[in-house]
Amino acid sequence: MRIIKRVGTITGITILYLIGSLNRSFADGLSLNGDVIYTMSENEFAGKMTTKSTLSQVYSFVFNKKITGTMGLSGDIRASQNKVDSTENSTIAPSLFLDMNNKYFNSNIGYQVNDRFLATGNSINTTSKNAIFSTAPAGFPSLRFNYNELQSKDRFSLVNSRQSYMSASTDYTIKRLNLLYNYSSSTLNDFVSQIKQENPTHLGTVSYNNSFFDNRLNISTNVGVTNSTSTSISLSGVPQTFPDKKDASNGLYAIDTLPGDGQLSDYPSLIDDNKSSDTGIDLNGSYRNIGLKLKNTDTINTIYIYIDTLDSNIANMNFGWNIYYSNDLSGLIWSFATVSDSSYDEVNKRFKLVFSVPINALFFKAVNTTYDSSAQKISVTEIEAIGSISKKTSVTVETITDRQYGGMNLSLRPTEKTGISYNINYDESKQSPIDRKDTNINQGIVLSYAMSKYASFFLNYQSQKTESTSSKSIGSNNYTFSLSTNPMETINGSIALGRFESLSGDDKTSETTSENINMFFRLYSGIDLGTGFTSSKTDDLISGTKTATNSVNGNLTLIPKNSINILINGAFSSSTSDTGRETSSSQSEALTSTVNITPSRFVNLSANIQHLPETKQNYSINTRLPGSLQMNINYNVSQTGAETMGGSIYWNISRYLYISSSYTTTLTHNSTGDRSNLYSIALLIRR
Amino acid sequence: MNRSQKLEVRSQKLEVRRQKSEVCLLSSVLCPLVFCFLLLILISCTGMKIEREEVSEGTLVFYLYLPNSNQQDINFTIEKIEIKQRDGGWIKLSEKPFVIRSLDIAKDQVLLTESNIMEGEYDRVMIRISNASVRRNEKFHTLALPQPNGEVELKGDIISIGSSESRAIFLTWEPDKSVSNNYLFSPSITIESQRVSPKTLLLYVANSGSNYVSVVDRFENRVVGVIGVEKNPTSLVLSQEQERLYVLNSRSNSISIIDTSQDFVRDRIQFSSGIEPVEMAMIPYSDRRNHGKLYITNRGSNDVTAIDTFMKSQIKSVRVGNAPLGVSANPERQEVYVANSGSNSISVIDSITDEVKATINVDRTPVDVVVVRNNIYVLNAESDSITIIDTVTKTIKGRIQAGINPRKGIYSEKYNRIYLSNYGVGQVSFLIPSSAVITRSINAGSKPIGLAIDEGRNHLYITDYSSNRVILINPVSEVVEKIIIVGKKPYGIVSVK
Repeated sequence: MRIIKRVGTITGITILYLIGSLNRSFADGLSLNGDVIYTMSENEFAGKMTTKSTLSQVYSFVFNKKITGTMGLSGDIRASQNKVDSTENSTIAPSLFLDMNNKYFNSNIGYQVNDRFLATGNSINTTSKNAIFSTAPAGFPSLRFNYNELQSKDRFSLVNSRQSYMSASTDYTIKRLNLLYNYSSSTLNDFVSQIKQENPTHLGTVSYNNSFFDNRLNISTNVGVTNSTSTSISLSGVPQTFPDKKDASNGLYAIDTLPGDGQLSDYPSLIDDNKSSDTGIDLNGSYRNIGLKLKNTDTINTIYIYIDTLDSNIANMNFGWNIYYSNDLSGLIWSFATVSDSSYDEVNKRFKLVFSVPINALFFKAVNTTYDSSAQKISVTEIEAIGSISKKTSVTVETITDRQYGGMNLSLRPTEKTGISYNINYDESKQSPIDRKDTNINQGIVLSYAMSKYASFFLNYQSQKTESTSSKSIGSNNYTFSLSTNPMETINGSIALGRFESLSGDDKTSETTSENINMFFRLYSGIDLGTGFTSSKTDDLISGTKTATNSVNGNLTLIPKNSINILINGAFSSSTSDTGRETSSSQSEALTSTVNITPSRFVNLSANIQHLPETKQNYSINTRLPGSLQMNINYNVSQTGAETMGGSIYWNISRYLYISSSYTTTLTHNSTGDRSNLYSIALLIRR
Repeated sequence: MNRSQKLEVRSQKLEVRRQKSEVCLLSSVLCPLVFCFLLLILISCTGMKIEREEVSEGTLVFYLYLPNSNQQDINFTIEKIEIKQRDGGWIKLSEKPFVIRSLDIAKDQVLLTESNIMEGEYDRVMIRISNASVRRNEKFHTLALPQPNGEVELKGDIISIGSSESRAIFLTWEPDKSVSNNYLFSPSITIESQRVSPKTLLLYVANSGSNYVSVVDRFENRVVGVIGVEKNPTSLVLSQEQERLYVLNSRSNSISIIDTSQDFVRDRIQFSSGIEPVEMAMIPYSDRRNHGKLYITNRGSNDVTAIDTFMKSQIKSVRVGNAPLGVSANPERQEVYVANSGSNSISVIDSITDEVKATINVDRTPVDVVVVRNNIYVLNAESDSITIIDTVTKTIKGRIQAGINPRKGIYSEKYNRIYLSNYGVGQVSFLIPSSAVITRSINAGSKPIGLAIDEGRNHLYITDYSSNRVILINPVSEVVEKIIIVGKKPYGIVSVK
């Protein structure tokens, strides 16, 4: 640490000496900015009202200084104070950048500190250091070097890591041949989990592009090779297992006060790898049985339940959890597993449930036996089952990936009206020590012909095939034909036919044929009509299900006056599915209208109304008033009947002072009369 | 001391030893780096001429348009444009002859000149005219020119230009009032300062060759203002509430933050990591209005810079594949998709942890990613194809044709179309995602690139990188309707809803 301080001091003194020795005024450009933002939100949920107020102030002092014609120093100091209800945080964060750019090279070094405040009162401090150098001398290979280092640490010791990344590359073009080599290496030290990861990668590519016969024949091709090693090392020196998320085939859920037996319902949104989307499950009640079925029986030691909530006090609430597992084929009979530790991780927004002993099973579920009734809505977004990938007494886990890829594109334009092109791509990856190999081969051919200025057609074939040692090969074939015509300004149309085949191994698993017709008519000045018809038939050759879908859409544009624009969009579709044993059908309709009225350049009124399938409405007025004032008012009604109203005003009082304010209220109109209000006011000062 | 205490002391000693070795390692890396940069500083300083203090400059852009409908067919040539400092002399802006035809510019605004100018205040504009004529009874008749020398002085509000600021001046011409006594050409031209429209009418264009953003009114479909930013603006991103426009200045490694309700640059963010930043996408914060995380692809350093717009600083550099170019955000899934054009792959970044959670190999030279419901469509420029990937399973579902050399794409839910710019052949293609069919490809400039859509007015806007034009297409009729003149090398384009 002393060495670092000395080096930093020497660097700083050198920079200041250079600035001082040139005997100039301190800075060429100085600016001061201040942002003061106050927001207050009120939420009423199931009869409980919660309020939250936030006052954020961010001030920055920005400077830049040209030391010479090719060297400059810039930076800023940001001071912020953030108050959420009664919790306050403040910080001072500096940034400093030194640029050196001339006709020989470009380079930059930088230092930045950043604080991120979480709603829970936690904050994550990040320090980043960067260095860049690039040079591209004419007639010589170019050289680029990039170094980043990032340190992150939070107040509550949930995050403590240092990550460094280095990249060096060179490339050289001889006539039309380009050669490129890149080496990069990233290192991550996670001091919380006591794991270090290193990932060096080599990449080399050769590419060639040329055209002949006055651009009528074009060739482009490239080949590339990469070698990447990923190594995980335990920092603590004691035997270490590395956590590994296990793949699930389905999510499971039910509300069940007797969790010892009973099959849960399939719930795929619990395992869709989306930790921010509400699955429809909440924890505002007990005996939520939230689980998953693994792809294969495996050993699990931890369950994560991810949530989304506005409540910032979850970590202090009392939630009781039980874990169950099942090994029967349908997840009917459950066995109890002891939880040694259950906690809430506010950084990753998840409950962490650690088993006393790892369990080997196919089905797992977590059941909340108690919940906190004072909590705001807690939505469950995802569930993960965590096992481990090794249990060695040594400390290294290494994976090596080798990849070779290449391809070619050949295009020929024998006449101005005709075009033919062919492309092929090959991609092979090998991973060790697990001995996995993936191969991808894609190719396609396109023929285009402009028959006359009124018509043109395309004929196209594309294929894709992926083979893997870990699964059966899959692929697809796509054939398309389209014809478009534009006989006159007031009418045009197109017709397109397509066929898509999915393959598994050499067998077809499904076929889809589709037809599409589009027509456009300018019926009269200010009246345009666009129509389309699409029909598709899918044959699932594995299950024997046949699905037919037909849809019609129309778009009517009316412009009775220049200042009024009315758009009406409608679509109707019907779908029939025949499994061989039963037939089902469904229909959907959509109808929307949009009206824009712009009586002058400074006022715009718009209305968007959805009539089908449900009614939704949105109205807004935007106006620019004299004195640099702008105002917006809007009103929405959603398909559930929830109303949202709001307005904003923006005022540029002077060149240095700007104020904005907004208000939004939402009335849910549900059985509990939920509602929310949001007020905000912001002041910006700049100099 | 019992066994557990001994173990604790031993682990503490191990920790101290580890920290010492890390410090040694760090200083062994840091010292040579610092030495190299000191050497570079000395190289930069020695032998380089120290230039004179640069004069602060801004940019002035002159447009001419007809505010009312016109029946007169009048032609004239503008030989010279000059502007007068408020307490100083005349400054020449343009000496390139520009021919004006009243019937040609009836619907289109023309760009007369784009000039660098010293900061200061200006109060008069002078234009010199030649070759004026009017058509009557199918014949053109020469008109007498205003004296002296065809010079016309125009007065207007004081124009104030700050350092690095850009300003647009609009000369509004009324041909019907420009001929007096049937022979004398006295052009009725007034100066109109830049006044932008309510933000729901606006379209922004990043002019990478002119260092300013053009503000276009979508009702009148013409430029109504310009906002000066920094070097080589490329990508534009609107905040979720559409009150902030973030502009990536790729040669300054900075982001200009524009307030869309007042159209001025309210702040900037400087970042140092990354070589050749090109494209940008945003994941909005749920609890901070107009703020979020910006992800910038750095084509030259093979990484993505993540920036916190609230604290205005970079959070992390995320290593991805080679030559990352296109980037697309999926706020619903909290994922960011990066097209690695140099290694034929897509990196999927988890925006909560800023870690790469998946890498998927695709076709040659992926350049852009379009999110359509539960799929992502990856445009492969050298394969003329699109790879379709399932966002949940992260596996490839299929491969379809994308026209020749696809460069960027945009999805419209209302019309159920993906619009593709085919950069190499100057075309725009219309693709139905559900049937995987391109229904039509039409000519749209020479190098079409950026795309923006106004679904409420049936307008698709495309920037033509090789010229200074934005092309307006009706996506229902699939024909070009209008050309809007903007700044040089327009790249990114975005529409406020």
